[in-house]
Amino acid sequence: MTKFNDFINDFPQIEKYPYPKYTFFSKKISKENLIQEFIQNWELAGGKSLKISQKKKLFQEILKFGFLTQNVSIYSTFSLEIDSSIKGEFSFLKEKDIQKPQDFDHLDVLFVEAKIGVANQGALWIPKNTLPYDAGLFLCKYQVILLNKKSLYYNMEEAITKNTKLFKHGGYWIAGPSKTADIEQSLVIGAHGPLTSIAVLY
Amino acid sequence: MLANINNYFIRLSIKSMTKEISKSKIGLFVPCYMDLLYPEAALKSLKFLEHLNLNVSFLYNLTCCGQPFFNSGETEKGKFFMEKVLNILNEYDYIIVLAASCTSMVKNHYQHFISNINTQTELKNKVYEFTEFLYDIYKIHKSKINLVQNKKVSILYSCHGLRELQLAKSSELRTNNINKVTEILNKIKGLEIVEIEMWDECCGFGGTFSYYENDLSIKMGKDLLNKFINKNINVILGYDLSCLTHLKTITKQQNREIEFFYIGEILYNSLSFTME
Amino acid sequence: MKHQVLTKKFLGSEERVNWHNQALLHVRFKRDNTTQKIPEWEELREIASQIKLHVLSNIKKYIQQFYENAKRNGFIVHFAKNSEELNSIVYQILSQNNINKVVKSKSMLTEECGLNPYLESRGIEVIDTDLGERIVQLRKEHPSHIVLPAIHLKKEDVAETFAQHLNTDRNNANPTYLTREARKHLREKFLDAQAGITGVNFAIAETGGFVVCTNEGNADLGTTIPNIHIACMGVEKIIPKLKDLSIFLRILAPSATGQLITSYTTIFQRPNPNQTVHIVILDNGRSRILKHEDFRNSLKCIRCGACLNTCPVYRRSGGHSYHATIPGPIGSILNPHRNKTEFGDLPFASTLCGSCSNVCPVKIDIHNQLFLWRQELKDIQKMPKWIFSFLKNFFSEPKKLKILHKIARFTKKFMPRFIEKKIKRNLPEIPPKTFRQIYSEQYHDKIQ
Repeated sequence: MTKFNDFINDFPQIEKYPYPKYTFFSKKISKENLIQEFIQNWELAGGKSLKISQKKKLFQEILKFGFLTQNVSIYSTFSLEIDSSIKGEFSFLKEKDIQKPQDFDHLDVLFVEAKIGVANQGALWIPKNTLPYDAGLFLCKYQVILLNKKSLYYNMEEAITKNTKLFKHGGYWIAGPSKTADIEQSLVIGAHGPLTSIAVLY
Repeated sequence: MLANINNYFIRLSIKSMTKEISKSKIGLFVPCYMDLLYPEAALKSLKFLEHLNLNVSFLYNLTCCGQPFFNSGETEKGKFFMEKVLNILNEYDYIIVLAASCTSMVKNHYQHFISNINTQTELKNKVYEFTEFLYDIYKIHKSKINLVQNKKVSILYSCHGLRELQLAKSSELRTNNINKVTEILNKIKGLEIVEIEMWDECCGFGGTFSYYENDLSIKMGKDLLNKFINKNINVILGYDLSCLTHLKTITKQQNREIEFFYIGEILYNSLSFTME
Repeated sequence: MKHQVLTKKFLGSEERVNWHNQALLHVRFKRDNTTQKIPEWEELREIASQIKLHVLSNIKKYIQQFYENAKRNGFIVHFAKNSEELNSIVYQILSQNNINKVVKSKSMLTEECGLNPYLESRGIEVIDTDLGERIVQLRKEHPSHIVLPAIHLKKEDVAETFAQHLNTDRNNANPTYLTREARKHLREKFLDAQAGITGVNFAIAETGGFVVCTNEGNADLGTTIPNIHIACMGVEKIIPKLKDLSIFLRILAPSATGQLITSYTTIFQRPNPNQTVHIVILDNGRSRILKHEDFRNSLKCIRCGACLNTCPVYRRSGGHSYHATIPGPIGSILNPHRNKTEFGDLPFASTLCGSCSNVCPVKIDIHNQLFLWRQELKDIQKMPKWIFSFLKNFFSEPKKLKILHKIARFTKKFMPRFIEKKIKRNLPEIPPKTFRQIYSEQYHDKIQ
């Protein structure tokens, strides 16, 4: 096993190239256009999107998609308000039900909150350990990701520079559902991870 | 009124520039294969440059830029030819080369074998491909030259000229759209230029590549030729006769009559209808 | 000249070549469509290139910075001078933990080291979880592309393979059906895996973290379920700051697939609770390449595959014709470092058209390096030596060129059909006089 000093001694010191100064901050864009661009890029990647006026309307709006039935298992990382007008018993997984990552295998629907979003690439940032086991993010079939529109940035440089704390423990940039084009270049939405991913902006 | 004044000054500056260029001593480098296979094209190009009042001398003793040798890793043999070019460099203000790949070898690739920065700079400042010279130095596209030829043509954008000399913007890049070749050819009244699909894909010649990988070279040539055929092109122009020859050698198999012209030829032929 | 021989075989079916060519062009066009919408594209390339060059010129400092910060994060960092060491380190970690079931997401580096056969011969099951990689793994083939491993296969080929190994319907070649079947099959593997091996797209010196990008989510499934994660990386993957991801993540996906960003870009900063994370940092000749000024640029590579997609030679000869882990233009400048004799044919498998250099998101002057490699490989190419001596002699001065002209005319006159048949081309006309002869006649007063 090579020690660090042994390893590093093989490498030469070559003439210096400076670290370049750069910034792409300055694009001025209205909030409306920002949201528009995010949604456009999210949907281009095969994702679905939704705008809601209040966080509490989430459940009833997602019901409209049709996959949220009484037969599916649901997990939410935040408390979901279900309006009293909604009939029926929904089966929610609780944290105590999840002893190990594999326990998320049969999870159908996941509700999770993203902390920030980037419009020009259609990506949402979910820090690590938002779930008891992050495997739930990828084992679920339907992924519903909630984001406050105030946390939407134009590009990643801004998003990172203004929120370094959110990156301290790592996390996931998610830009739509899982997919592949490995079979004769035919795009298939839904590979090993979630089949559907819905971005909900409130 | 302002437009007229503006035009007057443009013409004045071009006149003075052309006066200056007429004073420059220019050497004409004729590629090896042009001497052997296309003497007419070389002669017409020379005459065209003379028509522009340029002081051009044929570099009789420069036979080859060394490219076939360098491209095959025969570095020492390549250097033999490189030395000959370097030896005449300071005798001329410009050297015009009648092929883009040879120009690029001299301008861009000799530097790997030369440590003297001044020589490297001299090469970059003095050596020009024919079209490049007409555009960058003579600025023919802004001149009042009278050129006429009624022909429907398409252009073979040989790779070295396209990507290494930037005679046009290739499709990979997101830089300014520039096409020195068409800007020059557009001065020819009556010339219709047709663009083909994937106009910047390599024809497959690659010099010694056509020897090492002949089957692939022919396949690439065939694919490109078919793009011209699909648009009913019968005349293909280029700034590199080596690539045009490669296509010529496989055209018969495609059962088509296609004419191939060097750009210098076309420009000269466009003069023959009007003598200034 | 191995590439030439393998290419000739590939060219045997013109229909297949045209199909393969179109498949790769399709990806190149997707890249074009996306980059057309990024007005600062050329600026991004320039900055990315400068950042990479900066890291390479301070590599010792950055390896150290990454190492110290990674350790601080709780990662266990190992150093491997060569591929044997990497394989041995990975094996030791697995055997010490009694692991015999491993899932692996795409890592060209582990391919370079031959990790799979090494582990398999020691009784460890390694499942490649990237769909394209899994397909070629089942077929016992090598990937033919660094991003799209199965691009050389038609869906019917995949249907056949899945029927054989996964008991699917042989007659159903629908990509969605096949992908869903693969999902089921691999889901089991993810749930049972005892360790996950990944590559590394970027390693951040400032934070001691690293990044893995996928579309399928397979790297994430492989690193959130098992409690051992082994990440393998080359030193050149290091970038200085977290902020630099805003550049690299904007050029990687567009160049590779024409997407704005991959579906999943995961930044690893800490092991998950109850998880051990190992990082293996590999040299394997990179330090040697760095010492070589001509070829240093090749270490900027971010393994996007754009050069493969645009290369007119690769598109018509296929990845397997390069008989190496990494095919295409970038492979042709990396592989010869490993073994000049075995891979010396690759820099000649090119017309030096330069399209690769133009699509490279980090501005590697690939076509230039192909040219420079040729200067080191004089003894490799198989053209008979006498031809160059002959040509040099007859090109050396005008008098000799005149003689060559005569020889050419004579040859054309007396044995045209024999030559034409051999080279499969029609010979051009050779005019009776050379330019020099005509010039001498018309400009006789100008000759010195």
